[in-house]
Amino acid sequence: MAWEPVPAPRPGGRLDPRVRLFVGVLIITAVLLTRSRRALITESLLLASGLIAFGRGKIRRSSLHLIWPTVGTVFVISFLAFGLDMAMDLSLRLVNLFAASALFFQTLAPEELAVALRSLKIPYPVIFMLLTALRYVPLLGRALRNIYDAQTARGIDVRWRLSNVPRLTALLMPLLVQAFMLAENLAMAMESRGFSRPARSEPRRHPFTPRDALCAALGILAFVGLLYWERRGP
Amino acid sequence: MIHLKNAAYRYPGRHGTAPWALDGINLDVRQGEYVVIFGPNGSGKSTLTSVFNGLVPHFFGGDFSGEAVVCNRLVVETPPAVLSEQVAVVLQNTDAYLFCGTVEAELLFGLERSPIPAAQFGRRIRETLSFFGIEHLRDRAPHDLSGGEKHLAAIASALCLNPRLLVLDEPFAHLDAPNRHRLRQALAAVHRSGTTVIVAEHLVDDFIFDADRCLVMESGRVTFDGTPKTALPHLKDAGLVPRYPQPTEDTPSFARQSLLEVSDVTFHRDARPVLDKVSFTLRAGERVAVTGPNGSGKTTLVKILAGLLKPHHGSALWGGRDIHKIPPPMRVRHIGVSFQNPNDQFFKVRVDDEVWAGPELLKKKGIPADRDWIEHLFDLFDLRALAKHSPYRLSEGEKKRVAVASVLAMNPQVLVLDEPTAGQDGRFRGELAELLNSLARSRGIALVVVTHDAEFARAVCSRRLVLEQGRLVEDRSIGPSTEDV
Repeated sequence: MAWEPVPAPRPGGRLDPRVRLFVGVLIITAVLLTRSRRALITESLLLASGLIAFGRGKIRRSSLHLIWPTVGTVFVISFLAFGLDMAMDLSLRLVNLFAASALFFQTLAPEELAVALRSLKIPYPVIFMLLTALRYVPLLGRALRNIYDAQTARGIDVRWRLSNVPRLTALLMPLLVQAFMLAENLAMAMESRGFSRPARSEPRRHPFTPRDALCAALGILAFVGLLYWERRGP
Repeated sequence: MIHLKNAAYRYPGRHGTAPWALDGINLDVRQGEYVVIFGPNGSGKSTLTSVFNGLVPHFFGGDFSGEAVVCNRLVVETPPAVLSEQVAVVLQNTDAYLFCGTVEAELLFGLERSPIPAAQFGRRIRETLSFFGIEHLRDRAPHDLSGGEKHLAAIASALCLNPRLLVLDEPFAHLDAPNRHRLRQALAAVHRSGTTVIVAEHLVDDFIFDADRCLVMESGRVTFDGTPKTALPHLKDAGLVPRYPQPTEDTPSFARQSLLEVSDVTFHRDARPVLDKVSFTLRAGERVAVTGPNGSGKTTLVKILAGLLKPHHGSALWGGRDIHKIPPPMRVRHIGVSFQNPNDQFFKVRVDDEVWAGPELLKKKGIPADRDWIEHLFDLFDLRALAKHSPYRLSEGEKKRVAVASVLAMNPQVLVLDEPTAGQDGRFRGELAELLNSLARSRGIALVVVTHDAEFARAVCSRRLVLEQGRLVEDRSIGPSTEDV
């Protein structure tokens, strides 16, 4: 018998993680395949509703610091290259992609993602690499913040300005070194904790219920419906 | 449990006359013993702990000679994955050690690889978390925990497998006093349960008296092996107990003009006050210690003094001007800040370039560098011999010296140090205290030292500010004429 832990509460957590993974992939695919602006706006509204309904808290301000400059840069470059219409569509698509990713990770904990991928027979080392990358991104983000503070406090101006580009090595070099050190320490920890020993017990499995099947079917229906409405609709 | 006979080890790439990290170690540890291994930075104690679970030589490579038997297995013939069934080693860097999404998943990771039946996992996890009193952390992400909580979670993940031997590498080094006490109690309880416990540390504290035995290492050798009560002279000889200079009064020869004025500074994070109406004045030549438990707002105060954060209410002024409004190149001429981790600062490949990096940039903005002062810093911080070395390859103490010197190179009037003794051995702490006293005496540099280290604070500072939950609850003199810190 496989032991069933009590998972951390996540919005939609009663659904099978495989279904949540499947629906998440459908949403991201829909955003990528959408062409018309009305469909993009519809997606934006749906994703915003999803984030409000399922969002566990406010989106971090630090995430917005990354998102808005990226969207702004894409808008400016595409406006200069292709014009206003294309710039609006590309920016909207990018916002939708960020929102879809946020929704995906707010409704699927890394542990649940691991369970879903393991049950799909993805090799464990591959899953581990993916999850470790996801987990250590915030840690490296914190390291970058500390480096920024340390350099600014000693007079090295590394603010996000064009004139400071030559000084970005003052940020990137310590970050790179710390990332390598972390990678080595992580490898030591994995070795110490028996990572190379195969797991002897079965991965945790969730029973696939009719509710899960219904949600997966609704997801497919919405996906096909959206694309049909966009391409054939009035 | 452990038998080492003439064990010697050298890291890969070091040949000929290069020193051995372990040099002829003879050691026997019995089942159920609690052993503390002390040694200054670079003495080989972490390398020795890596022998116990086979990371040396299997993970690191290099030359290993002599005999090493752990839990009846020859280390050179047993890979770490096999030894880990009986030996749990908790590494110093808990951010790397805890790589799962939740504390529960950390415990489950080991259990899934152990011969323990899956049906027992739930009970094991509950019992282990309850043993350490951390049931409430079960669903928390390890990276969101405090330093002490991370160590407890790491030990819990190791202990739920019922190892025969628990080894910890510098578990106390970065913890404040309440967390050290908590960890000390947890380790004593593990020892009482019959598990063999080995702790490698350079911080000499009361926990030493919980141990049955104490080892002192220097240059890869065991120089003392005896009871904790008889260890003190040997710890002093090895430079593990700092020899602080006599505390001195503030130097009166400086004008004692007011440099920094902090009034009613309040700072919020997520609607929670991190600093709440903090006020104080710092005068030239003054040496102030800022103490308080983790989360009391010390680092936020440092960032406000560095101009990195703007207070939500109140003001932090330099010469009547808001600090955060002063352009960074000008600000560092007034206030220099060295943060806890020196690796955050280094981006040059040579020590001398690192020290000169700040002044060179100031020069480009038309602010001339004080060449004599910077050359003097190389002597003061003993950096001449290290000038061409890579900062990343230095010992922890040397890194800290380079980091502080590179901040002082801008010739600030106030030096703010955030936890300067964290992770440093006694010898470095004594040397740093001497240096700071000398700077305050000779140049009238005002010091703000944020620290958990009460002895260091007493050796360096003449005034203490205590923060608790963001409030300044104490502001008093701790000069030689006062009794306690």
